[in-house]
Amino acid sequence: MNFDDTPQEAEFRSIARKWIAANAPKEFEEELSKSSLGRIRLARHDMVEVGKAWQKKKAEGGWACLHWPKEYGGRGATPIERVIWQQEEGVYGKLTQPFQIGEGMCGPTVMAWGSEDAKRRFLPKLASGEEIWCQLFSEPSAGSDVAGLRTRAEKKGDNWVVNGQKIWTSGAHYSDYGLLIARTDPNVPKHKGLTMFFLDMKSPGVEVRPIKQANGMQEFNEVYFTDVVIPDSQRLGAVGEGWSVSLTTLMNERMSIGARLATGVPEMFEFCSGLMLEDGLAIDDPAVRSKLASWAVKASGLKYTSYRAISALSKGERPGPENSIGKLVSGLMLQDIATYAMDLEGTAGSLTGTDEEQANGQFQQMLLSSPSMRIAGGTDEILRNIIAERVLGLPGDIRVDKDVSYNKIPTKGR
Amino acid sequence: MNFDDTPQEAAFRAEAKAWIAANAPKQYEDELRKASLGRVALKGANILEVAKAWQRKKADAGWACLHWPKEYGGRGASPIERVIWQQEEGPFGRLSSMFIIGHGMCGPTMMAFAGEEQKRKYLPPLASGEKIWCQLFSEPAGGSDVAGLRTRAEKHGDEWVINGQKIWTSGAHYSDYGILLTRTDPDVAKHKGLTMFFLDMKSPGVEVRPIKQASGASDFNEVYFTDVRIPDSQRLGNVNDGWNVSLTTLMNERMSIGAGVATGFPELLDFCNSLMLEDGPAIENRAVRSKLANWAVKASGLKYTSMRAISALSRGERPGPENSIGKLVAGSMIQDVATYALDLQGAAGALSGPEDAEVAGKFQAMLLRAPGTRVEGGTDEIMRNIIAERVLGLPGDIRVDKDVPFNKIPTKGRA
Amino acid sequence: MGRLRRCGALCGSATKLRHCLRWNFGAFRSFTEDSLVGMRDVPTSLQKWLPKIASGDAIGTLALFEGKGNPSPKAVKVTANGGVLNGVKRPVADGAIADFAVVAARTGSSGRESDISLFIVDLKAGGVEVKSLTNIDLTRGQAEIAFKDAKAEPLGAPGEGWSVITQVLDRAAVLMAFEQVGGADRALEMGRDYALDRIAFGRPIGSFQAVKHMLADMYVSATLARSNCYYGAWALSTNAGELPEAAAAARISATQAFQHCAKNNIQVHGGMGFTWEFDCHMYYRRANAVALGLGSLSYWEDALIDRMRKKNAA
Ligand SMILES: Cc1cc2nc3c(=O)[nH]c(=O)nc-3n(C[C@H](O)[C@H](O)[C@H](O)COP(=O)(O)OP(=O)(O)OC[C@H]3O[C@@H](n4cnc5c(N)ncnc54)[C@H](O)[C@@H]3O)c2cc1C
Ligand SMILES: Cc1cc2nc3c(=O)[nH]c(=O)nc-3n(C[C@H](O)[C@H](O)[C@H](O)COP(=O)(O)OP(=O)(O)OC[C@H]3O[C@@H](n4cnc5c(N)ncnc54)[C@H](O)[C@@H]3O)c2cc1C
Repeated sequence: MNFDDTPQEAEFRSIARKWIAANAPKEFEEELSKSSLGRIRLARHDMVEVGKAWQKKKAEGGWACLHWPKEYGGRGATPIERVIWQQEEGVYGKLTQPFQIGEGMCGPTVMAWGSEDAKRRFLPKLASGEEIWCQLFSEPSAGSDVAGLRTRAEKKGDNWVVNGQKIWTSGAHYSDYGLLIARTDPNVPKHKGLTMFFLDMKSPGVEVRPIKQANGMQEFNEVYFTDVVIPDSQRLGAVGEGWSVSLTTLMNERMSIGARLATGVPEMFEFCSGLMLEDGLAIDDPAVRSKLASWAVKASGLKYTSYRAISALSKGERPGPENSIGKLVSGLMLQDIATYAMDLEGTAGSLTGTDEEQANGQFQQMLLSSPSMRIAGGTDEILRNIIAERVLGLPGDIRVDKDVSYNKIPTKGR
Repeated sequence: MNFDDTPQEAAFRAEAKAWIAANAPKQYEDELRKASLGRVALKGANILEVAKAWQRKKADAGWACLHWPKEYGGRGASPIERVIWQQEEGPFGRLSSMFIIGHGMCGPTMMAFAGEEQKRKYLPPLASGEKIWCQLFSEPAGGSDVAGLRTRAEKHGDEWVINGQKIWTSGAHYSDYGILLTRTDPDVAKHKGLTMFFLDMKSPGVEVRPIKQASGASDFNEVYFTDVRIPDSQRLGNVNDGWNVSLTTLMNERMSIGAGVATGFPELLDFCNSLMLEDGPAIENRAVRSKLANWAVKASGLKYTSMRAISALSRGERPGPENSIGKLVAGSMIQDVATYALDLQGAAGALSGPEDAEVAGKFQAMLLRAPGTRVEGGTDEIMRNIIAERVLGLPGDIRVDKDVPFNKIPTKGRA
Repeated sequence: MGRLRRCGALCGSATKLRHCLRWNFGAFRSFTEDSLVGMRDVPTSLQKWLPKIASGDAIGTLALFEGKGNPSPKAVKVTANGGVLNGVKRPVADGAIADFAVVAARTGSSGRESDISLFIVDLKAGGVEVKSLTNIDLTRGQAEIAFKDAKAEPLGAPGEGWSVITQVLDRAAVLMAFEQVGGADRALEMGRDYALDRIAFGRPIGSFQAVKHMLADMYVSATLARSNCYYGAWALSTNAGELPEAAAAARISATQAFQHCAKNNIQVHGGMGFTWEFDCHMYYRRANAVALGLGSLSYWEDALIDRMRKKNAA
């Protein structure tokens, strides 16, 4: 790992920088730079539309999914170049939020398991943001234990007929395609009866119902499937191999979630630098400093941990489960930071509206949104299990459902 | 619960106060006041002797184990009176540390399971500190999982013959008696083959070897048993019912450990009150205050929680597993407190003068002793399990050793 | 004892009624019952309100804060002159539904606490403009109240406002701490129940130590808080000299417990906990709003050490 650019990297950086300077939607820079977790909204524009336009422009300039091969809409760039791009893209990177699941999880899964035809047909449009993808894994009774899912896919001739329900599907309401894992055999142990598909979200029988989140927004959904027909050509991997396929997705999820992780630290630092407390600037207060310092080193630790992962990647190594620490650390930290920022605002800290808000209400939104960071894409507890088991080599939990046929597993606690 | 004394309580308090003023070994007051976790020592005096003398004096006047019945060496006092006594005894209470296991655990177990004659014989000298007792439960292979112990007891006529090893036995080196949990049947499930005894620590075949602790001190020991003979009359409870008997002991352990549990907070507050940092007294620094306040409310929370338990006790209710919180909270708190005290000393660069070295020594001892608090008498994790299962009603851990004969349970983690 | 039982009951019912108690009501009641009775002249205007508060026909509130920051006489900018008030108070709890407010206003400029006096203002009268503010707790309103030459009647002696406010805040802190403990207990109970019912990997999630221990820690903080609250209640009900310290301890402990339990209750609920439909977020919102309502945790931490120190010095 080296923290200086090599001459080639410096060259790449300057090209990227110039292109961004010439092409980025500057009119949103200010708003984007003020947005943080739970609060990426543009006052007078539809975020998805603006995002699509920027993504399209990037794709035309060869800057979309730049680590992907050219034939699938990328640039064939190295992992380091991708990081340099992200650094330069800066606040505009926040516009890529609707594409993250597609780019980070669905794309790589299709890349690994799809036919050549499928890859050429779907990946370039995914990269350019013309088609948005979502991930249809979790179900009401299967989140952490996603292999416990019940959505059924039954073979009828050359097609599969899908019935069931998914939940917490982020972005399903604006998605064009989805990656779907379903149960194709309920009579074998639960990990063995799953199969992966992708499908057109406009297929007859797909019904998307937005769910209102705890923070008041509606970014995730319930998705119901009633006799939805999926051609067998849209199967990814062999029948019954869905679990292995999903591991590709989930491993990529961990990487992509880790990459642009929000920690709340830069916002907090800025906030404390400008906030007047009764007897001086917050940043001069020893209690504030002590907290800021412990958060600051966590944030820098995470940043350099991800650099180390990227450096490993660029040496051809596979990113390991150590990347699970990113979300684990930052989820809790965001929550603590938001709480403390509001504490510093004092009695008015709980106000949220537009004119009475404090620091634009960003910490109030952060507080309300941060619990999801500790749950989505693997809960804190599951991430700790992963670290303990896959990094440290400790034994797995005792499993009571392992060799049991799926339909014999209990479904109720009491 | 009421935080004011009733008239009777006030009278009791006045009596205790007057007696203590007249009888306590005042020459040690200062030193005892300054002592804290990991650091109860007296310069130029043998603490064991001083402690025994004080306990004896208390016993003669009816202030030893005062909640015990009179016929067993106590005073028949109420739980509240006991607390009042403890409050009044103050720093002199630190002299009872070597009796805590006997008074808190062995005594109650004897009280519940020994014969009347034995109780009259053994309990009064235990109360008066003439005889010290220890608890021989833990083994190298059975700590949290004490029911996994292997020390064997085999019946030979009217006697039992003991072979095996105990470990971490606090005070075994100065103890006269011990309560001993053994395996009497290895062919049944592990909780079902245990039996409890008490024994004379001077019995032939008992060998005590002190263990040096992480803190440098040696308060606990390994105890080896080679063909040690115990008469069947010293069995407590039925053969193979030792697990149930041990639960009495452990429940009392939790209560007695929980009662006066050290948090380190008073010491830290004192320290911060006198410490000067670069730009003023530590106590005026907002970062210090914030930490102090957090610990202050934990310490007071513990204090009032134990008062609530005592209040329940005085209403005739049994103290529940909720008392597990005392040691759980205090253990990691005292560790954090000590770490922070050292941090503050570093910041002030004040480790030199004799006064400061004195204080520094105190928090260092605390830091080194604190890990033991988080382990002894049930680790933090076991305490959380107890709270989760017995207070909140959550399911127990999935057990792989439950209905398996003891001698079929694996003994190694990795091949 | 009787009073303690009442506090215990308050705690329990706060739990069951989902905290329909309004803090300012609690604060105000203690304010009227205890503080004012000791004051020299109870103005006729207050006498007019007292029976209505008791019967529930009128809601009173305390208008103290003026934006960012914590309770402090320096932060009071609203002025009182010639029987009228001018300036803006925010946030004022339940300001939009209250009928009258006790307002802390500036009557001097010496830079001391004695610059602050209390007034009673009929919020339905002229010169008062009330605007609702949004806040993270959707079940408890906050408002901004602007006074433009609003008629006000003095409450208590001039210059004694801040000392009364300090006492009211301490009393309110104890009462509110019971609400917080009730909230913490309820969040714990919700988490516990969900952990018993929810199956993952073929077993109740409550059988995983990660979940069990999380709940055990929630129990610990709720228990410590409850014990501190009982002490606070004792100090409050006996007017003990320990009240300032006991109130701060109850406040800090209960604030932490409620925040801790509410946040981990969501965690135990996983994705369900992050939906609007489940009540978890209501507790999370309330816990974090109530943590600021009487001054932030940092403020009370500072106050506690100050008070302990003063006691030590005495
Ligand atoms: C904002 C948001 C966006 C999301 N987007 C998507 C999406 O786009 N697509 C999708 O498929 N899903 C999505 N999810 C779902 C998410 O992946 C699940 O919520 C998550 O995996 C947790 O599953 P669960 O909600 O069923 O919780 P559960 O699995 O029921 O967990 C409940 C609690 O039990 C604990 N627990 C469970 N198992 C264990 C164990 N073995 N050991 C210890 N503790 C355990 C958990 O840590 C948690 O505390 C999203 C969720 C959120 C909150
Ligand atoms: C200062 C001191 C004094 C002592 N005095 C006495 C005494 O007088 N008499 C006596 O009999 N014993 C005594 N002990 C022993 C003490 O009771 C044991 O050390 C304790 O019960 C832990 O057992 P262990 O050391 O075997 O640790 P282990 O049980 O091996 O525990 C090791 C780690 O594993 C964890 N662990 C174990 N089981 C579980 C589980 N089911 N779930 C989650 N985590 C688990 C523990 O929490 C711990 O972190 C003393 C110990 C100390 C430190």
